[in-house]
Amino acid sequence: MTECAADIDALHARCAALAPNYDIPSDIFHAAIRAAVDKYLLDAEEGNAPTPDQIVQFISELQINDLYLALACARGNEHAWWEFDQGYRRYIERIARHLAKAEADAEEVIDSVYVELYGTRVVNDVRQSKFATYTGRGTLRGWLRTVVWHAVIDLHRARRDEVSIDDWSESGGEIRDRPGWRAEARGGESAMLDRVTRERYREATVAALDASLATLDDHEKLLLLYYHVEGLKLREIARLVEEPRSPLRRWFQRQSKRRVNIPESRVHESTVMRWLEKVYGKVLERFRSELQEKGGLSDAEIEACVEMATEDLAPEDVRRHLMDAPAEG
Amino acid sequence: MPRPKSNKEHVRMRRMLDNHLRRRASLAPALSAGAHLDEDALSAFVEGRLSEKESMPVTRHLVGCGTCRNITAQLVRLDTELGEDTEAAPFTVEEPGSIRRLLADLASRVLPSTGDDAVFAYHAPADDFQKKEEAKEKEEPEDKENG
Repeated sequence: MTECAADIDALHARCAALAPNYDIPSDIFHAAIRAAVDKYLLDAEEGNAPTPDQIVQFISELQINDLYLALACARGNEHAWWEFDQGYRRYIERIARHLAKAEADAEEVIDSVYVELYGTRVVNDVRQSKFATYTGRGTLRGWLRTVVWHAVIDLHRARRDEVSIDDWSESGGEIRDRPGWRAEARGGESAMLDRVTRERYREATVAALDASLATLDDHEKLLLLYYHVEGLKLREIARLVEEPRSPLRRWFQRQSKRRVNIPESRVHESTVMRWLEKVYGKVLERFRSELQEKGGLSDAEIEACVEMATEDLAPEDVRRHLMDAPAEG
Repeated sequence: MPRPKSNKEHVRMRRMLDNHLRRRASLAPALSAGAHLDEDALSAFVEGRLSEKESMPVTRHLVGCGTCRNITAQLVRLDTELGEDTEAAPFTVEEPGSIRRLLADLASRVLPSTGDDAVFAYHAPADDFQKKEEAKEKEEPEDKENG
């Protein structure tokens, strides 16, 4: 970091010139930048320190004006709060009203967000402002959106404390009772296979699917999870991938020669669908070979595994795609 | 929505995966609540601000943590729902002193931890700020008269 001190000083001077009333001392500014570097560039697993070039690049990408405003707000500077309130209150209100079910709830969320941003706890003589957790890596607007989202969840949790946050969140905001993959739920079909055989097939199928998915890289797994578990629509995944600097976009680009050559080309829903199809093919191939080689199953038995797994799921799958169709059509 | 030119096997594969992934909810062991990503990392990821190296641990976390993944999915959805209207709308000028009242109200909620000096972290307003507001208050009637 010492090699970059001059760069940080220059940034501080630029920010101070733009907002002279914020009164951010140089050491506070340096500490904030260092915290951001430590958070995102230090390799916690391997302990590798970033190079000066990496730090300079990182600092140049920070939302420095947003960070400067946040630092001043964290210190309770009235000028900064004025600017913040002018620039962001409407946005906070808009998000809160969109997410909260009732106007009264939205008001409560807005109030709690302001209280959290200001900070109501004092530790070692320092008020713990939420602003202090903002590093400037993303925009202040995007950060606020997430803070508001969390405030809505907290309100929901407070109102319905019998529902755990993980249950609520993982179910996408509602508790879903998914149909299980159990022989007894299939009525007459279970007569075709006795319980022992079904259990063997079930275990082999689950193990083969796990093994197949384990061969995918993290980007592939995450996009599959976004589509299948979180229910993101293709256009929403395309939007996530389309962010110009998104690592997901860069990963997508590496999958396609055309995109490497024309990096600015759009990622359409059809591109995401084609990618999904490719992954399905990859998983299916691996799945069959796992069942065959490790499970020792014959082609007919593999077919039985696939049938069992897909038929059990079919009703919900069909419903989901019917629900998706009008929005995406 | 563009539909895939999928064959029967791919359709069945999709159904199998749909079932399997939903039941698994994640591909890695569940994490403790304290290990979740904070707002800073979540929003930077969704905005696509992280470099490839920075995003690697985040992506790995999202694969294993249904809670954080769901938040990122909700944020993406929120973006879609709000569309382009998220740009800041022109703001009406606040009445002078409103920020001071807001901050005074927020400061009054600070939970004391060491006695009477609990609000020491609240920085006193700069003198020039007060002067500026007073000057503005004086100017406004004149402006109206002139207008």
